[in-house]
Amino acid sequence: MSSLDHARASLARASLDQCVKCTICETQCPVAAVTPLFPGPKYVGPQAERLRDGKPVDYSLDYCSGCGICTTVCPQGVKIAEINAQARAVMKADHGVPVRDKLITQTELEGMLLTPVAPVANAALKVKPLRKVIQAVIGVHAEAPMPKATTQSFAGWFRKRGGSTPNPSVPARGPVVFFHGCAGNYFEVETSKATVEVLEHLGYEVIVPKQGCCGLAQQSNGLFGGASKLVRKLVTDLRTAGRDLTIISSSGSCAGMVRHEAHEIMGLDDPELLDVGSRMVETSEFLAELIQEGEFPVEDLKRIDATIPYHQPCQVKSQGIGKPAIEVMEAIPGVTVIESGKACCGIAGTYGLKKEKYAIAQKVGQPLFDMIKETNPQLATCDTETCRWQIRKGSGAEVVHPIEIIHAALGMAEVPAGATVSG
Amino acid sequence: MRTVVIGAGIAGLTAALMLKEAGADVTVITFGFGGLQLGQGSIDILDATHPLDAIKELPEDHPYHKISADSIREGIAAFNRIVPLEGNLETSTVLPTALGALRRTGFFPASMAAGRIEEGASYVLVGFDGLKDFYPRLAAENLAEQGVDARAEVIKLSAPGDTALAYSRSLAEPGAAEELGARLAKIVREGERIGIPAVVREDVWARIQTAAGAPVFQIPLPPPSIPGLEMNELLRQACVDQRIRMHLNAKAVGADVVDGKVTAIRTQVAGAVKKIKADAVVYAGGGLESGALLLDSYGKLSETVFDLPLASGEGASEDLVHGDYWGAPQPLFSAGLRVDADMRPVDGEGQPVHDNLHAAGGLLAGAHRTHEKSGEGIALGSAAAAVAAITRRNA
Repeated sequence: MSSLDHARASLARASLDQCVKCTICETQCPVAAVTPLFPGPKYVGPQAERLRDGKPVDYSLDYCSGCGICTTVCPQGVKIAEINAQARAVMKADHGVPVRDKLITQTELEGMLLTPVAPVANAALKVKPLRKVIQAVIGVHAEAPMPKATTQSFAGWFRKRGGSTPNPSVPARGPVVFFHGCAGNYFEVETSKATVEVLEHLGYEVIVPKQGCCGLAQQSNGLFGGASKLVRKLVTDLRTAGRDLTIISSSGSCAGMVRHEAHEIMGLDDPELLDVGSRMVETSEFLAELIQEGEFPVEDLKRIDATIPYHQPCQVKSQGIGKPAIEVMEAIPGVTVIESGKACCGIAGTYGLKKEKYAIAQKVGQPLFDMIKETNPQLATCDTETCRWQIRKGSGAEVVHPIEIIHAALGMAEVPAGATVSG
Repeated sequence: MRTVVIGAGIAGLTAALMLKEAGADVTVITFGFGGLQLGQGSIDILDATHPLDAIKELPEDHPYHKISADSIREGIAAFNRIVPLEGNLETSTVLPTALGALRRTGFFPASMAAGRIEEGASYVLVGFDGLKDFYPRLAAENLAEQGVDARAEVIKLSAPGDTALAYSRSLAEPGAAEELGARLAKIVREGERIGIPAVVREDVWARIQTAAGAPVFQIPLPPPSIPGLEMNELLRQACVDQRIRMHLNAKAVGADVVDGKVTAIRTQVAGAVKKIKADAVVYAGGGLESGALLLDSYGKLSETVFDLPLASGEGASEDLVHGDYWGAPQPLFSAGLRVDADMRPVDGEGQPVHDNLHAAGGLLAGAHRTHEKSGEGIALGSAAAAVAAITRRNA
């Protein structure tokens, strides 16, 4: 069965009878809270699904950002976000896909094209008239947040340094696999480098197999065919590194795609996918467990005096792992983490880039931007790349992955502005 | 001491906070949000004028007989430290419902206090024409039939939606509370108390009341309950502040047991089952409504995480639901776990199934919570009793 057939049959439908209409999802939906264009997850999800019979009944479901908070908070196990994602895929298959949605989901291609011409690309993306043309022609909003291209990819850096060298002065802890994702390879390169260097400091050998995109952007745009191909290819690539190694990811949302979304939204049940998904952990989750077991050298962490806002992306919230980043950062003496308490930053992958959704995404993110400006206007933390781009633009703060704070506390990088080292 | 709490309703969140206060390391495993925001936003103890006296008259297998009055007090005190409430355990307060029925409760937020039904008081119930779920004329008429001096008014007030949630958001906008208060001031007669549907948080209610210049009270609506939602937010935030680990969208699916003790809770997270280590466990997964108890299509009732033995209330397992809708309470709704004084689930011989596994809240057998209006009292009392037992046993 293809993933689109799966969506047409909507296997998540099986969960809709568990809906008791308690409305918990409605109270937590960040999109319905700011716009009447989206009538809410219960309405377009379990309620509309009863009437769909494989055909769309209500186009408002395209205003669902796909953040998945509804499924995360549902106490009855209704796969609300999954039902919506599947219905959207069927709707797009039946009614056509905007060129824009096909373009912006080519994340790897974008990175590959931009990296060699990074300074030019960065300058071009700042040119307002050019962005207006892009908005008019392909529908990417002129003010939408864009990543900064870098001149060297993470994979290039890793190759150049000659692969992985674990810290020789601590006992060897064996190999782990690093899944960097497209953004971690081309745009958020510092996050990937910091992850590798911290793991090596602890005594791990970090294996970085050649790898491509997880397909999340296509999946969230309803392009299930392309997304399935990409995630299957990725899984095969990651398995070349070893069949029982832990796979660590600093790309929160991409990890979520591999761990459960490809299976639960697109219905893929290849044993290879389930195997890789079961071995994948988020970097902070991995480190928090070491800390809890007394296996992390917390005495190596230098004091950093900072109050650091932390926002957990929706697609990390949904993974059932708690908020380990808080525990990890607070292992650093002097660090106080303030959890944002906000549902979503608004971007939801590519949602907030689209000209017709840009304003909604900004409204969704505004309480988070305000919270960061009040808590620490210079520095915030978040585990997913696209969310960081959105929060940087909205709050003006530098937003880094929590691992970069640990990296700095271990003395392997400068402490970012907004935090000070003492003692 | 590592503790794991399963469930994030009133019992689970309160137990987690009490364990943390006692110095334990606490991880909460929760499959979605708990039921707090589906409730009325009040703490019901028992539908009786003097609940503590009436508890003595309950059937022998009622969970209240295992929970001391001190435990109930401790549980309520712990809850009250996070969520400010009025009321007391000795004498119930009578409040109106959205249909104009009268219900007894123990503790309630300040925004409901002026709604208490008292001799000589008069009430004006004010509805909003764009809001579903509250019909003041019906409510006032029903109250009047019960001898309460009540009348109704409907004002034009719209929001981007017809739900309590939509009104809650729109009345939180700057100036909206003051504007509503000023309109209520024009409606209220000398000496009257003003009842409005419960669509606002406590701070907004206070602003409405100030602007109205007369006592204003909120009347709970069907879910989503805004007072319950506020309680849920306060408790969850307290857990975050206290650095209680909250695994949302995680599901307890089993346990590792060594020598009669639970050593870890197997937890389904994205893509894998993780083992979360535990020296003691509070199981507050809720009852049948929450999925901790499961009734299959063969009529077999089971407990889903530990496969614990169940007490099926006063009915046999094949007779959990009788066909008489208006008849005696359905046995299914009092089914659940029988526990000892330490809130540990026991087997048929009355022996604890696991030495360090404690249960609290809706899972406990023997209560007809909706009929008795006893749900929150049992939840908080059993949470406190479980935490006290854990603290004592690990001292």
